[in-house]
Amino acid sequence: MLKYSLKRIILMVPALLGITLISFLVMRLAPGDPTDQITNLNPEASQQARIRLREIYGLDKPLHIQYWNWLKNLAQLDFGRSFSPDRRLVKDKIFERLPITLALNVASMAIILAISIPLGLWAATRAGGVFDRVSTVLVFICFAAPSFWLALLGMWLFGVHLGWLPTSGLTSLRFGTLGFWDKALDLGRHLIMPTIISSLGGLAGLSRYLRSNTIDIIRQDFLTTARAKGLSERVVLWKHALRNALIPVVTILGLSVPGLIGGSVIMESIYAIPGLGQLFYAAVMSRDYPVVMGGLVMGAVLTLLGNLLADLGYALVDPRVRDAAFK
Amino acid sequence: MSPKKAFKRILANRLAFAGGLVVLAMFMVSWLAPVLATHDPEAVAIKERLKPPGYNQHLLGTDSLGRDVLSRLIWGSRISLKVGFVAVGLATLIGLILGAIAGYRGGLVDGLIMRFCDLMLCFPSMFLILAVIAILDPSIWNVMIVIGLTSWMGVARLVRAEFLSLMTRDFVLAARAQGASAARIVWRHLLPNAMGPVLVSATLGVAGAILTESSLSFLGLGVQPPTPTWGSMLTDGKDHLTRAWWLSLYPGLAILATVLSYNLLGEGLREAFNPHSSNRDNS
Repeated sequence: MLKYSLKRIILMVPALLGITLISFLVMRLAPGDPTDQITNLNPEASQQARIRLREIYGLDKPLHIQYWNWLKNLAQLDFGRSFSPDRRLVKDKIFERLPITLALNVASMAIILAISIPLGLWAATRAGGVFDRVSTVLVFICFAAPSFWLALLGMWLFGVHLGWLPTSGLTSLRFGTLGFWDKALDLGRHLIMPTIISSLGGLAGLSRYLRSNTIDIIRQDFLTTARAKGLSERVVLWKHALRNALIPVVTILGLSVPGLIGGSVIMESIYAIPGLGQLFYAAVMSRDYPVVMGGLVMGAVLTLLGNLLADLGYALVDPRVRDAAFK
Repeated sequence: MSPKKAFKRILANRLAFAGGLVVLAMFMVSWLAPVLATHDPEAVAIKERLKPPGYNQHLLGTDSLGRDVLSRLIWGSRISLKVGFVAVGLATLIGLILGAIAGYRGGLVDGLIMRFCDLMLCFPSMFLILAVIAILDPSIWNVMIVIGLTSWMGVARLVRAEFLSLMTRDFVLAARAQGASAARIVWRHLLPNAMGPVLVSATLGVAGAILTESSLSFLGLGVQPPTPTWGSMLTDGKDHLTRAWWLSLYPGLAILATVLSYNLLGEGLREAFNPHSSNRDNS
């Protein structure tokens, strides 16, 4: 297993290089220099100042040397400084917001798993029935409805109309005065709506997949064998069928990582949650290139890590892969 | 075929049929927008701002600048369709070319193209799209091009897989044995047989592109005002959530209906192209 894990991790290196190269090229496609953002807004910026700034940022060097220098800094997690007035390190800006985005996405994944597995299996065992048809319709609607629209409707219904939940932010104003449990409750009340709404898309996808996968499995010979040797329908379904249906779930969860992270841009800006997505959006709006570039690389690295975890998880749960990996 | 199964298949086809009808209706609406719209979608009337549905011939109410919501919805369908089709057209073209090269040539070229494909899939597409939009300026053309450039990977993989399986088939071997040129084999034998899955993926792709465009416009990074788009109408809805629910409800319903229809149509097409569809789930 260790050898397999190491192999998978080493295989990530070329992917990481590719990600940085694409990110670098995307940002250098820009007409003009990233430094124009600083000089153009300043009427007193002289020609010399421009040239000096270009030198500071290394923009006077050939492209491949620029990339190499940027890569060297990146290896030390140095993304440069933000163009915004606070001029803070991009690294600090990203890492202080990362935990919030990760926590939100992990919570979304937990919801996706907790609901889609019973939903998919139940629909599969009753294929064609009322429950199956209702859930199919709901799944298609969850697929097609824009998440930001559902977020708006949720804010209107639960925030404005019913007044049950806060409509935005991470904590209430009086957060500092609360005790531990009230703090946790306050956070929960703020996060429950964004978490549920951002999980809807993945939930629809996974339950749909589980449904058709289970329908295929139910028809297979080994289940007939299990029934023939006298096992109860319960054991056949929830033990033999479920285990086999769940194996690909690990992979699908891994594949859903980019969607969830990308979706956090929208969710976090709607609900004013100070996470990576909101940081990225604000950076895009203000053309803060170092932060945009840092965010782009981080987003891809998170996806890569998600895929890695999915692969390792797959090796753990699938005996066919596991045996090969342990050799 | 049991009656129950038959019923399910009819239902499946019915859903796809209904989806197709709505798609057609959307085409008609956007084509006939000048006739159907009761008001000028960009005509500002500050005195009549934020009026509820039914007020003074405004069937679906007015927005924060007093513009007619229904007319803006009707004109907004043009943007959605345009973005959907141009972006997907571009993505399909790139995917077809790269997938065909990778599948037909194999070897190193195939490896390079597919690794590039994997890399592009590593980026959360929203991040990549926003980063490019940050460099270029937001406009309808840039949005279409960027969505196209970031969504071709599925088609490329699909076409490559189709090519690989088709190339082992007898009729391709026969064509090759007769001395047909590579171009002829690709054009006459491989591409036409690979078009089914591509059509399915393009149909589903239109739905995805419409969703992406509306998200971008909602974030203020898509098609710029005053052009009416469903996404930017929802931004207005967000700003006036407490006072005007109709601004948040109707544009979202329009997006939902359109995207749902393309998805249903795409799933129906998938069924139709799938030779094993009778033993697969088909609702």
